[in-house]
Amino acid sequence: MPAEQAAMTGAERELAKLLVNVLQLEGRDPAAIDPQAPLFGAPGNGWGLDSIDALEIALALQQNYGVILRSEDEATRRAFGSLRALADHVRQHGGATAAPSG
Amino acid sequence: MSGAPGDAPAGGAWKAQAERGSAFWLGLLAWIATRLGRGFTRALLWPIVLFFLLTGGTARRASRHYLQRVLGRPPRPREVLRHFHQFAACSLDRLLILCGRGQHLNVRVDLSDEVKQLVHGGKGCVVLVSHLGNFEVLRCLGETSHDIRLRVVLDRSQGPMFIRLLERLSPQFAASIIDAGRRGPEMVLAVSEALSQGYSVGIMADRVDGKEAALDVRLLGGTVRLPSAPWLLASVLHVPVVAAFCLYRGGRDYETHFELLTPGIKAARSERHAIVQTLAQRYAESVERLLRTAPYNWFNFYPYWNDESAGR
Repeated sequence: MPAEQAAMTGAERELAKLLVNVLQLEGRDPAAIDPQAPLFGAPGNGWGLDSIDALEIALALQQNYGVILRSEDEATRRAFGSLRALADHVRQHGGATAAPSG
Repeated sequence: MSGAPGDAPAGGAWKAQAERGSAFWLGLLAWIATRLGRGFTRALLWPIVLFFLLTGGTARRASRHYLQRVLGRPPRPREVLRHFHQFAACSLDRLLILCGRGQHLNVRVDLSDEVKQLVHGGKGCVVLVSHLGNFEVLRCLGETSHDIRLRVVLDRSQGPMFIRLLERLSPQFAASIIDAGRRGPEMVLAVSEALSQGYSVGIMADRVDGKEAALDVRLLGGTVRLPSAPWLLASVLHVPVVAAFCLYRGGRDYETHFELLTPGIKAARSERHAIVQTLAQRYAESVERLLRTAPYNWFNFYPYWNDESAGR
């Protein structure tokens, strides 16, 4: 799998760092994350996060980038697909220039 | 539901029970109750209760198991009958409330200033509701006083027939439901939005749905599983947690109890589990205390304790 792993952009690396920090995923190297792996669902096939984690991510994005993820929004569902999708969402919603504070 | 022995009795058992009772019979009862009144319909409850008592083996066993725990001795047949009847009487009043006829009930509200401020303050709080008593009455309060703005989290897919009935009888309430069936981010974000709009968000705190995260607490001398989600949501969102119960006291009388369990959970992620465990246990103790004063108000008619098997 590592061979197929897509390279991360700078923004994705920033975001990966933020998630690892917020979710306290000790032992997880942000640099070794596959940006296209699914965030939710069974671990092993991706991050294995749950809905409470999703809430923490949403709050962190709001705090750090001023980006608000709304329920009942197709864009939100897409954004939570993978790290890459989440980074794209942040960029599209004007959060790219703000540096994360955490 | 996985059938592994020793598994939590959660999941499928109560779903099957709930749908069995709710769909057709509730629709019929609602029809009768709104046309012929509460008094007449209550007289009909006895044959209905007898029918369920005779045919509902799982519910009957669950009732006996529970009554044995709360009474400290094997229950007499008429105590099981009374337990069933109390459930039926409360279900009828639920229906009447849904039909907008809740004004005939006497609801005594016991609200401390502390809790009043929380539920009226418009800052949002998590309200733990349960099948101890009749939580529908709380909603009735919300509608009459317009002070308690309450939205309830329910899994629409769990009782599609019940939801349809709800949509017919009380479309406004049906529309305010936050659907717990939407897994993943959707539901938690909806809860978060409702809280930030100042709603009190009612979450079922006494039943675990299949695969969801749960924790063990002690209740009436045994171990039961409670869902973790209400606590985790409150801790992530830093909102107060209030336990709400509405006990049926016979006749037309209901009595609400509110208890502030925490003004907000401040815990790092790593400490969260321990704090949530302590709070959930405190909640179970509140439940136990109320059950001892109102033993027939327990409406979980399925194997509830971890060591209680569904069989025999």
